[in-house]
Amino acid sequence: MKSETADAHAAPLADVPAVDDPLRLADAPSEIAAALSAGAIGGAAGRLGRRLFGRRTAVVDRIAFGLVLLLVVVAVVGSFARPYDPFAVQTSSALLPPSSAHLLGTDDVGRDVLSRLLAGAGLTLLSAAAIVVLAAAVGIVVASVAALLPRRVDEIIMRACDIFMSIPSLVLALGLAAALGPSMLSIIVAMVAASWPSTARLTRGILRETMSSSYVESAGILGMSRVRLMLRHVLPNSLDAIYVQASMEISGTIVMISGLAFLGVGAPPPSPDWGSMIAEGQQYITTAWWISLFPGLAISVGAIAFGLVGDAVRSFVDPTARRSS
Amino acid sequence: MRDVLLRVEGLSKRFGSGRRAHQALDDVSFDLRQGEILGLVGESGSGKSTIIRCLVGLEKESSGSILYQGINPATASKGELHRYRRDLQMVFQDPYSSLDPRMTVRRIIEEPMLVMGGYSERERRDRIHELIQLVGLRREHLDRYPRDFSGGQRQRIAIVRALVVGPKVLLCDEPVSALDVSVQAQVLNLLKDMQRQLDLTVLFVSHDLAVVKYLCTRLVVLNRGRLVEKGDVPEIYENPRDSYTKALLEAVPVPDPAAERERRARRLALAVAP
Repeated sequence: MKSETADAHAAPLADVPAVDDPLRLADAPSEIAAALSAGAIGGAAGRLGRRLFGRRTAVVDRIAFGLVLLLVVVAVVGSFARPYDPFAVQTSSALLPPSSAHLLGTDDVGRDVLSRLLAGAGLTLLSAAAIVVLAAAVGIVVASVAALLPRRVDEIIMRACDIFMSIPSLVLALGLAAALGPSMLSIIVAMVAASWPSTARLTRGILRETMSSSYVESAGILGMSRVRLMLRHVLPNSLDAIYVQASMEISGTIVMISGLAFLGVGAPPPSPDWGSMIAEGQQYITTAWWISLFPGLAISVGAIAFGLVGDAVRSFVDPTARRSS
Repeated sequence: MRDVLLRVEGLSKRFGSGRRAHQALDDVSFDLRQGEILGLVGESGSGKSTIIRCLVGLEKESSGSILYQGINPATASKGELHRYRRDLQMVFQDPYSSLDPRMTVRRIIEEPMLVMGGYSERERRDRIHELIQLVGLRREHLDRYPRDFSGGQRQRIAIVRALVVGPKVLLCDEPVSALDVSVQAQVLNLLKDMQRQLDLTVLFVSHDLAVVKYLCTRLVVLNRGRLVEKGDVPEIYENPRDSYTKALLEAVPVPDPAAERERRARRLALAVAP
């Protein structure tokens, strides 16, 4: 495996002519492909995975990883197998409290809360993941471009990010989602739009720092183009910090998605996502608390689990940042 | 007198502008002659690293010129620049940050050949194996990562990386100042051996006058970006003409307690007198 990746790196470099201009953008696609196929990203993720479930993992971290794993399993299983149809309206069994037949009770139109919770898990987790990945991708691309361009252009791009960041992300997401119409897709678009500038800002700082390290300078002295430097040395060595950032953001994103759905800008009504389930149960909160409570708990568990995982990832990347408790 | 290989003329470098500007280099000129080890000495902030950074193009000089065998990197054609970059290689100060932590030693050493081009896969492998043994490392070290090595070993790897494309000039930016004293001697001897075996010309930046005396044949002394003295090493050490050079030499500890005591007393008297 190791030698394969080494060759994959070597091959694309070998047939690129050595002499270059400072910004050879024409080569960028093949370089990107090379960097990806070389497993710079995949390899790092693999190493991270081994570290996560390794023997030296702390108990809190194991619990966090366990919870996340459980959530993922629930989401996967839940999208195939559920005790009841999450959409079947049955007014005769409306507002039933938790019992052996309906473990988490039923809602105002007689739908099984557990079934809806299971059906909504995949939706919530998948869209949270999509948002974080997309925002990170956009952020990384913008940051890389900014870091490659001359200082002045870099500054302009970063000021643009600052302007975006000065708008509260919930307000921006709310406005965008409202404009795009109620659907999960519009939540994703709105959330990505609201969160990429902070990722870009942070990533650009990390990239600039990595660029000034002497192993990057030493490759630059040889006349390696800035694009190739970025893909070969700077990005792979900045990924750890980007992972941390992304894993930290998942939990906030879950809360935000649910918040937006609660406010009614998410998927339209029959959709079983957790935020709108809380909203539906709102008027019965004193009589049928189970309708809102369980999705609320699910959101909390998800947010806490991913938050802990983010913390764990950070302590893996930077062992000195280990929490003291 | 040996041929001049590299001529630095009137090199100046100014960082920033206006009132906050800092003159890092002020009209520095010297020659680097074929086959010599030239020491570039001064305290921190004297501009010695800036010279090397200008030479390899990490900084752009404000004025002045660099001429290497008829090539001025500022005006060179692509082909000339390629030759210039191949012929001048650099060893960095800190071996802990000069090797990419995500690359194996083999890939680190291979990279300059890939970037320079013109090496077949077999040539690359042979050169790597030849040089890695020349600096006292083993082949099985090639598939490990920089984190598996000590500072001294890392600096050996960095030296191999610099030598792998067959440079004529080796620019060393305080290559041993980040190392333990015991390891310093090994790396210095290695540099000396390499210089002899490969007929290299070395520009050696250091603040350590003992190291420079051991390694170098000629010396250039810098103070706050200005060249204050240059000449042969024995001559300058015996008979420094510039007061700054004298002060630098005075600061070198003498490995003889009686002599050191006497010298300290003299220095103290000197400090009190005026």
